[in-house]
Amino acid sequence: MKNRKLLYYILFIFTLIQYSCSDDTVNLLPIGDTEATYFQNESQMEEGIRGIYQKLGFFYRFGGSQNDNTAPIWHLPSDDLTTPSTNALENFSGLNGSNWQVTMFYTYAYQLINRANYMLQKIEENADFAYKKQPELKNFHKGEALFLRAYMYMQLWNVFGTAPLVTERITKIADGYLPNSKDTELLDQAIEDLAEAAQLLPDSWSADMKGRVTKNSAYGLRGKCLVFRGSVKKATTDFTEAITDFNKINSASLAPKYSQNFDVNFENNQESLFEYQANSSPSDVNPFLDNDNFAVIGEIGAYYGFFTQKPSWIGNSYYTATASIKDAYNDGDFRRTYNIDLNPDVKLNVKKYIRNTAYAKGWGGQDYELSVNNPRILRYADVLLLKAEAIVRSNGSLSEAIGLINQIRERARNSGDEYSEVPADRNVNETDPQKVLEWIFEERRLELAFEEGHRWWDLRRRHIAGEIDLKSWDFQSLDPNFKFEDYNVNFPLPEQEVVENPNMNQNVGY
Amino acid sequence: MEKVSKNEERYIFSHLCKVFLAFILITGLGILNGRADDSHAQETRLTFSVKNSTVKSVLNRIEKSTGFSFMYENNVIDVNSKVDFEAKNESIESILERLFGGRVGYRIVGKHILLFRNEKQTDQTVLPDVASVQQQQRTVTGKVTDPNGQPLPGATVMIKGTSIGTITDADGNYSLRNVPDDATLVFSFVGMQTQEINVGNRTRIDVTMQEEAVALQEVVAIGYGTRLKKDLTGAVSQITSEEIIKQNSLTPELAMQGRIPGVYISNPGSDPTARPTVRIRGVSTLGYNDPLYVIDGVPMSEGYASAGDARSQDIRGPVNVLSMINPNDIESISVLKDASATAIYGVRASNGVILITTKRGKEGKPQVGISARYGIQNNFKRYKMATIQEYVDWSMEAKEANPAYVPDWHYTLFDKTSPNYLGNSRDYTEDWVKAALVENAPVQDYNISVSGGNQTSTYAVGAGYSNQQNAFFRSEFDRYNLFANSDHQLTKWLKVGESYRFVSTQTNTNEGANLTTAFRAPWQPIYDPDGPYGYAPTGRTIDGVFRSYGYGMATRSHFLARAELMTTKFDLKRNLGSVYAEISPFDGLRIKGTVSFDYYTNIRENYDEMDRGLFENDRGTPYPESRGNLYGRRVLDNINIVKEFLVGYNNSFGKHNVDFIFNAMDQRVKWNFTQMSIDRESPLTSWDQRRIEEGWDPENKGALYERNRSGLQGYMGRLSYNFNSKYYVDVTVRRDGSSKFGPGYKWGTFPSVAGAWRISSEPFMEGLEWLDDLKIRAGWGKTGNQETRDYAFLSLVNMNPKAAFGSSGEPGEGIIYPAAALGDFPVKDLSWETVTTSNFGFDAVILQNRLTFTAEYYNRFTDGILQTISIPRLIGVLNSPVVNLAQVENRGFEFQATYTDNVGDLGYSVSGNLTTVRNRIKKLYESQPVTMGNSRIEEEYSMNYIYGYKTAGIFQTEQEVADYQSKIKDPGRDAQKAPGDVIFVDLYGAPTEADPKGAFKSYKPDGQIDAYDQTYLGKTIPGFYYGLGFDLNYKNWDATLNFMGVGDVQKINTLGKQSIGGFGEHFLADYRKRWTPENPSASIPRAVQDDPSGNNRISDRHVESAAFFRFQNFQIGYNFRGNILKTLGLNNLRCYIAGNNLFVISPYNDLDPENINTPITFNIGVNLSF
Repeated sequence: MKNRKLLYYILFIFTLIQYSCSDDTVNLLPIGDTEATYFQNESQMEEGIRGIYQKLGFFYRFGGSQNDNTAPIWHLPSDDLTTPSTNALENFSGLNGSNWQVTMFYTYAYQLINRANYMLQKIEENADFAYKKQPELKNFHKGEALFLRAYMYMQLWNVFGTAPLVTERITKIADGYLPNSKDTELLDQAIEDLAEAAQLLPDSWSADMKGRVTKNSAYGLRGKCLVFRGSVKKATTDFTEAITDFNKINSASLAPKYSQNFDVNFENNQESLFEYQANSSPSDVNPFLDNDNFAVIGEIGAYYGFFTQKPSWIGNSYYTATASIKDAYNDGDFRRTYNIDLNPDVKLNVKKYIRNTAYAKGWGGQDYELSVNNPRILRYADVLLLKAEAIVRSNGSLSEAIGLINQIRERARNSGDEYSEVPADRNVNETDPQKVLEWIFEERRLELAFEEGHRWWDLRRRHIAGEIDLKSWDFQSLDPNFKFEDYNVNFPLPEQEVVENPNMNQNVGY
Repeated sequence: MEKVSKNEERYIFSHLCKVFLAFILITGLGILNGRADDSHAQETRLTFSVKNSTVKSVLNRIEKSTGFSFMYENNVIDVNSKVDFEAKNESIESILERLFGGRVGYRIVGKHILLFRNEKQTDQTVLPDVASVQQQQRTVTGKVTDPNGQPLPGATVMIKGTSIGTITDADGNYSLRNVPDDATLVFSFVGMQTQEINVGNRTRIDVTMQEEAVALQEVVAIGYGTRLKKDLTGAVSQITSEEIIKQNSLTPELAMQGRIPGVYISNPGSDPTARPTVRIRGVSTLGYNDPLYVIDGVPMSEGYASAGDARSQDIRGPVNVLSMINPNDIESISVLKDASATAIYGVRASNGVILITTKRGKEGKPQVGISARYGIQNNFKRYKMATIQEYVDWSMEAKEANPAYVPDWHYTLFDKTSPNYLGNSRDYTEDWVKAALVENAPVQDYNISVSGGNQTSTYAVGAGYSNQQNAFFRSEFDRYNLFANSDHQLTKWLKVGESYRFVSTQTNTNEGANLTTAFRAPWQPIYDPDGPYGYAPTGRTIDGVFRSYGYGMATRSHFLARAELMTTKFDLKRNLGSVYAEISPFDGLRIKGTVSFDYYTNIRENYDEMDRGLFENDRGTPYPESRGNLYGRRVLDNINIVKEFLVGYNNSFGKHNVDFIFNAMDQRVKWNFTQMSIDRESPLTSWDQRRIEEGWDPENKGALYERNRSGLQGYMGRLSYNFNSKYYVDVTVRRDGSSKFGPGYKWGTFPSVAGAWRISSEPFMEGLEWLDDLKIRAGWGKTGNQETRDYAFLSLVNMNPKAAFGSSGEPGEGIIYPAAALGDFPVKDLSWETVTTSNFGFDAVILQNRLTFTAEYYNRFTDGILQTISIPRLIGVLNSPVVNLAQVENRGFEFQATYTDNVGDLGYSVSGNLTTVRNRIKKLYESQPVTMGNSRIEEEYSMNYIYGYKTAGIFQTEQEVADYQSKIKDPGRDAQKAPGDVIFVDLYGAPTEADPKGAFKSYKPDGQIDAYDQTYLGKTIPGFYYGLGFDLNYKNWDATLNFMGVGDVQKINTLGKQSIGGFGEHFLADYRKRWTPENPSASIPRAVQDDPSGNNRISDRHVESAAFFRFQNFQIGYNFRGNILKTLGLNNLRCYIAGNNLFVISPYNDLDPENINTPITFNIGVNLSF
């Protein structure tokens, strides 16, 4: 009896040992997917590519406070907008490397580039098996990754000038201490990548995928990069190449009405080449939370509260149109009244994107001015004017260039409820290329006002090229501290990034 | 002489239990159990019956039932004769009388019952009389007494170096013939210190024996076993039940505050559930620094505890899971500090190990213990604020000082000429502070326990209820706990047992408020009889525009109103237990299997009404109907299963004592997170209605489920050897494997070795009368730390991102598609963080046991610190990687001393401890300093030192400003530099060509103020911390007082030091002393809106000493004795009053250097047992 008990007990103990010593405990893996097991098929590759697009949204986030969004980077430096609050991006005088908007912009840009880089890596590595069902997707995906990355290169050049060029996924920390890029290296890479992207991308997407980039997008953006590079490098070949690219754009045209470019009901229209696809979040949007960490409430809309002083606590951090942009339009130009409330007592006078909008659903929607109205990043009107610029700068036909300007002006005349005589066509017989160039920039200002920083990027590249002097420019700032110095064409790189990287230098002047 | 029961031990475990039991009795620490004294022995009545057993077994029976142990000389008392014996409710005295038939007398000394032969015995018959007669010899007689002057029968008197000797008779007398002149007599008695006395020419030598140091007999939990304190080789400190109870705390960590050298525990303030910071011997890593808690052998594990990201911490919730252990249930807390002590816990041990042992049953009649305590908490400190007039004037002054400032809409509130001017309002600051305070917030604690058992089974059960209200508005904590455990000696060779503990805590939390509520808009009213719910909403219409910040940018969200409209409750339930079975096939060997579980769920429920928006400063209006009344429920369950298998062997071979254990362990932890919510269009109308229904539109509901898991396996062996309690060696090896690391990096080996030498037992130490015991110890070992984000070696796919394309048909809305992103920067060769500890120390007992003293030197070298680091942003990852980043060294000394004595009836004990810490980063990845705000990690500096600017006073004149600006640029802050601004010192610059390649800065001024100019300003790890305790007893009274403090530590304090702006937060009255042209010698810079000159950059102006000395707590008790107890039928009755946090002295210029929310608490309580 006793022995049997002992036997039972020993059996129990050994069962326990057996159970305890299974290797599984140490080799547990996380519940959920890892990189090693992912990107195995089309749908997973699709999700990866969408992850790049998703990052674009961070540039349009609100983030919960007046300082928690990157919009000032492209809106405030220009002479079109100013703000009654003190903002270093508006007055340039308080600008230094600890500026949080600058840091955010830099961070998001490189996060997007990283996503593009690892997707390019995955497409190479997994192409053999991941695209068995839909082989065509491989090229499309590669084209999208290249396009989105190139867009970031261009933006980094526009903002920082010398931000480092990252073309491959960095997997060792030691490889992360890159030097500044030089000159137009960022644009050079963008131009190269966009050429490849244009070969790979489809002409169009099915209706349920509308909004993804196409061949047209790539040609348009490449031409834009070429014009930008050409203008600062004074390289005629860039302009001729740009014209070639622009000419390859097919089936794009100006929308019948100017307003259709900012109307929530006309997203991804015939004029559109690249838009951020702003949307409601799957559940109640929470503007304090981002969409990388919070699946259903992280914001994927577009914030326009700086034009409406929403939410209320942003205080003076709203943007107001300057007298000079108000005056730049001719009386009767539909675009003027569409874009601006001319009542001098109205401070919240910028109306683009606000007039025909819709809000993200949920508690963070209208109260925070989180819109589902897509920011139009690249549209055909921009391309036409860039093409006109390229023609003029490459000594092409001035009348052709003026014709392009007049296409834009004609559409403006047709944009109201009733036909307007204003703005009248430019004289197609004008022979002074300098004058035509000024018309082009004037038209760019009017047509593209308050969009995507077009005005500031134009002023910036022209200052770099020595065509204009921003030091004596009337920026129409409300801020008595305002002071522009030559070095302000490049914004400071994030201070910590520079201080901790022995190979990187702060931009001159900061 | 030998202690019979010791040699009769069958199992090491029951042996230890007994010693433990004896220890409790001897120290009288278990208040509930009463004191073991004569009366106890006389009162104890036993019933048993044996047949054909030895006398020895009868004695054993008595020992087990009473907790006493018998002491006798083998050849004086014949214990091997067989008897039949039956006792019925019989006293010990009577049993012994009958058992020995009057031939044997007894006396109770401490925990022992001493047996001696009743007849006079003056001959040395029992010991061979073979003394040589070469020298003149004499007969020596005398009397041996105990410390109280009572005769001590049975004491041994030997001539040193011979086997000649005798023992004392019933009256303590002895007589020894043929004693040589130069002889030394050795007097010994169990439980007493051995004394050696030179005979000289004396013929009468009376001796008063002293009790052996109690401290050395203390049984200390060391992990997988216990050990007598005198046999320790590692750095282990312990506090016991009595001390724990006197700390008046509801959580076990706080019970240790200031009591244990090397352990620093922060003050968590008045929040009953807050987690205090616990640091053992400095800060050894950048990441997870919390020690491992082992409760009755179950290593605790809390999901997300070591994940640094905000989301994980949010899910983890604010409630301290250790608050679920009721300090009343704790028998002892033992802290393992050096590697030789902690190596048995290997991988999880590098931050130290805290072993919590809870109370278990003891053989004997049922003992019922009851304790009750009630206290009140109050805050008496206040910030001194400026007046409303000053609030307005200073804001205007700041506005005038900055010509660039464009007044915002709220300027109108400050403008005397405006109809909206609020400067003439009543000042509501005090009303708000009063609303934020909870006066006389109660804290209460009630417990009952029953324990007892017979020869085969012992048990303990208990239950308790605790409640604490936050002394600030407003949270409340309720705890119900119960436990049951039992041990069963089923057969000679099989023992089984279990323990189980269930705790349920409920926490009601509201949006917090505290004394800083005074910093908000002073003119914001709090009540409004006409307002919704009787409160004044935050929003108002001003000049036709509705402003949610109705009283300016410093408008408070209305915490009182919101608390009525929002409910958040945490409900934690924890089941903690284990089952074991142990077999002992033969003496000294035990084989034990244990399965332990720790399963807790933390549920958060919230219900928020739409109207709460009325009282939100960023909203001011109710949430829309569509938003509905929200309800959300989160469940975090945490399952920790540990399986262990242990083989232990111990034996003594003559003077060689050996103890060996082998242990294999397997631990799996799972934590699951579930969230459900109704986010829109909810038909709920009240908290009672809370539910989420199937039928409701799925669009309006949210659901989330997430799982995590990790595993750990370990094998450990420990060999302990000592020779004659004089020379000790302990060797431990542990091998651990963890799922946290990648293939090839999972397993780590952690060895340790320690030795000790009781010098006081050596012949050359003889004659040092003042020295009772001296042992030196040294140890070395390695331990590991695996606590970091799970699976940091892998690149996880983040499935959160969503992207939209196409059109859903609704304007602007696309079709939402899932997206995926890789956000990690996996470091594949990530592996253990290892801490190599060297420890050297000694323990001394001197001055006839009055003074015990321990001093230790430690050096903890951490290599491969697991740290989340910030990597260049251009790499573009979302989650910073975890790397084996750095090496850090902590070294220092630990001292602990206790002096115990009495003056007449007044007994007192003074104890103090002091720990010094010198923390240095020895090596960083690529030597790259890491800066996070004003905290910096850099080689050869203390970790997280304060990094900021140096200043040189304040500009007084325009000329001074101009001179400065002609030499030094301050980019972005130059435009408005003016008198009254802070002068920043240009120390360093960006690296130049002249600097070595890879330099991070140039250590020369560069004519520019920027981030490079920041430098070392102070350290955040205290250089030393200490505790001081006093224990007094006088007749029936006892008192305990504890003080604690830290020193050599700095902290950033911006209170009352900034360039104030205006139109925002209220001002401290201190700003009356700010710089103005009329008050030029000020140390506070001028008031200027938006701080255009950057005066508020953290600089040496802000760094203050954060040293403090705190009267942590006291307790004064009265023990009822004698007839009252008899009348009431109690064994023990004690009443006390107690207080916590009575004062703090600190140079730090805030209400409290640790936590401004720390209330003063007074308690009354009673403990009784029967």
